[in-house]
Amino acid sequence: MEQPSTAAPTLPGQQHAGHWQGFFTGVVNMLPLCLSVLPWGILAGSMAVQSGLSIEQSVGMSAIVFAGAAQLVSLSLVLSGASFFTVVVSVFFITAQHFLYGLTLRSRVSKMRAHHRLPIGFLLTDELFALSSANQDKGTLTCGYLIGAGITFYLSWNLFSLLGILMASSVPDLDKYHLDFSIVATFVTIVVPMIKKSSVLGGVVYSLLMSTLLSWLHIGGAIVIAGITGMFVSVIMARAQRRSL
Amino acid sequence: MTWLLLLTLAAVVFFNRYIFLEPKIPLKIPALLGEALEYAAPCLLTAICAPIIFFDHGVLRSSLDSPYLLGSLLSIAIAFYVRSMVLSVACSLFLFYALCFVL
Repeated sequence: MEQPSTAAPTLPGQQHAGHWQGFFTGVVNMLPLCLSVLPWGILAGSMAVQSGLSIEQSVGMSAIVFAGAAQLVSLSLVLSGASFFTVVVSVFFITAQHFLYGLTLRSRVSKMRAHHRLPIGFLLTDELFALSSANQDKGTLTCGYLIGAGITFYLSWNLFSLLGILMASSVPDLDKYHLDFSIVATFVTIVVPMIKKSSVLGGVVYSLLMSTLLSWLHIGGAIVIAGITGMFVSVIMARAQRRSL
Repeated sequence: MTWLLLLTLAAVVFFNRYIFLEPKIPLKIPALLGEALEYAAPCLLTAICAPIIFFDHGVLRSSLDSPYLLGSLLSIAIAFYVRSMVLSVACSLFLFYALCFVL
């Protein structure tokens, strides 16, 4: 990770010194993840139109729901005639990994003022959580950083879904550009420096294998199951090591 | 899809994202969970990557010499040596597209 060379690190509790410190770093660090979401955004936009939503609703969906998987699943559920209640409950469970993000960031973000905390909550995607965790040790997790990264991603998502809405049925084949690899490139860059203990390595290797296995078996929630059990694998390893010392 | 459903979905997603960031929500995180949360980022982020590396539209990639697997291994090596995030991601992407071009 980049070490901020100019200003002294701002702790999240220190609200008065430079709210916007880190804003630009957040914007730049988010750019590769914006690239990776291009095909998804276009898909979400065009699928909204094809599912019979009006233009206003299609634009509004990306603007207020702002959650790729939840948008795609709710559209296909509505198309297949699911009830209001089914769609709401499904979306609740699809976005349940955000509870973990909130819990992880709670110690830092809950101290911020409401006019920073609420936007960060709204902008808290997988991608923003990834970037926030990259900076944990460095004291650079300012609200400026989080909001800069979050707004960049929000604007990209809405721009790409607008492209999808405008193209609607004539969406080009974007698979050949392999844009999804930028998720791997970014997340690997974030995770590798975190592996300072064998317990972290154990949890990461376990999560990789378990997520692959469960995805191969087409088990719903494969990623979340693999990630959460991986966390406890790390805890068990860390405790076993402490005991053997 | 009605506006009511859209607004409800937005509220559900915001609730899930925001609830634990709210200081007024009383919450004592148990020691075990607190310890586990330290590992949330590396484990969850890795779990998100796995299907991208190994699957193509839900089907296991047929060969091990795919740019995705080799590119990931190169990304790990680069992340180990290059500590600037932007530079590391840029190098990884460059090598990945070079692999796509060669393979």
